[in-house]
Amino acid sequence: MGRRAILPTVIGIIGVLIGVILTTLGVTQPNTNTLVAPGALLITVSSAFLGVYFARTGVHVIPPAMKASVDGEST
Amino acid sequence: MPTRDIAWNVSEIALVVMYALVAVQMLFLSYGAARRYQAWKSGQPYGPVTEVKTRLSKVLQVVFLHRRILRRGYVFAGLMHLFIFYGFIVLFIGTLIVLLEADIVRPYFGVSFFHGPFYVAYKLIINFFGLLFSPGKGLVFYSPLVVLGALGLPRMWREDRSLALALLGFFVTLNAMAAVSTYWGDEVWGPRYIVPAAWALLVPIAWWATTINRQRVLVGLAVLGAAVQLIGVSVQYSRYTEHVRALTGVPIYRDRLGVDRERIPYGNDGTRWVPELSALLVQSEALISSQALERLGGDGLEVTYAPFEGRSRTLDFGDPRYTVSLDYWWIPPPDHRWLARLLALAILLASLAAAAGLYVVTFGRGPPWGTRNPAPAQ
Repeated sequence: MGRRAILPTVIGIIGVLIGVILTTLGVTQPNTNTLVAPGALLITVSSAFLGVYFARTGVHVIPPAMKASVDGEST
Repeated sequence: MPTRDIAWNVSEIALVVMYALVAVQMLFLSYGAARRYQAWKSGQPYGPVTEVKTRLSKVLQVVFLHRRILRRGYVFAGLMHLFIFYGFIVLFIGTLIVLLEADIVRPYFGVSFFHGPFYVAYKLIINFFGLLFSPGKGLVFYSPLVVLGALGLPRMWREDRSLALALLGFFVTLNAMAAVSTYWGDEVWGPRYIVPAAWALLVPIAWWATTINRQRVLVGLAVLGAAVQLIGVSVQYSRYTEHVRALTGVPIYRDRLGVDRERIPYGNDGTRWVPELSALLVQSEALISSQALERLGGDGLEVTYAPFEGRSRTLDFGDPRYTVSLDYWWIPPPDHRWLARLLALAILLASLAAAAGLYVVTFGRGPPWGTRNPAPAQ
């Protein structure tokens, strides 16, 4: 993962944080129930974006053999 | 109108943490799914790619009928997986309904559907599984033999489908009827409303217990089942309600009307979903303490119940208020001391003779209860 990945990663993390703040407000403050659903949606979408982005740009946590077979390299 | 509070007695911090953890789960799920997709994309097309209908049908069969896991030689693993799978599916649907009600329909549209007939239907499904699996009332804990019956059902289904259908229909219908009520037949031992249906799951045991080892398991579980009932009949159930009151600090069941609901540490649903407060466990602890430990000269058992929220309490079964005496209240023991001992000895001898007779019939030479050898296990 090179420097190009920094911006999307930061955007994804900020999305998750804003989502957590919205749900926290919705759960703890009176008469703000309507914030819970968009907050949870933002958490879901941002973290899914991060997951897919990491997978596509090469943050690998899978064993080398499997990675090789995935990438089409010979072992 | 019947309904319940959502996330009642769950703190705000716990709710926030729950929503925040969604991020971690989604991160892993999306990452794994994307990697998998890349792996598929890197391969060559294989099999009947254009036959969408056949492929779709195969996918549905593999997912919902476990065609790939539930196969010969892997029946136990497959069945366990099936139970876990459908447990998650049912709970997931229940959670989606709660999400719709609490976070979308109520705050945005100002209406609520989580009461009245819909709530009753929702509870029916949850109660249905609760009557089978909840720690306080679940049939599998109070009548463990039904587990073997469930294991015998697949083979029975293959060999005698009409009988299997009749038994299943009877069992499911009666359980569903009991599940309609939000009242679980409480204040008695076990899931009494489905007692008339429990036998239906004992019949298929004959299709399971086809090897000597399986028959040994059957005898072991039968003994366990009898022990469970013995625990039930040895103490009055009203003692259990006193013990729960001491453990939780509030009265149980209808006596708690008028008590501030925030003070009840086990929620709106009685104690049946709380494993530590299961009658089976509490009554066993009381009996072990009063009838074994103390009779052998030891101290009474101390049991602690620590709810997620609220005060943790410890109950000392050695306390004279909480010790239990053997109380077979439907028939008083003879007044004369030696007569009572003689009666106990006679019952013990009769039980031993019955157990020995059962053992000989089951494991002795010659096929048990019939001349035809049972078919070998599949």
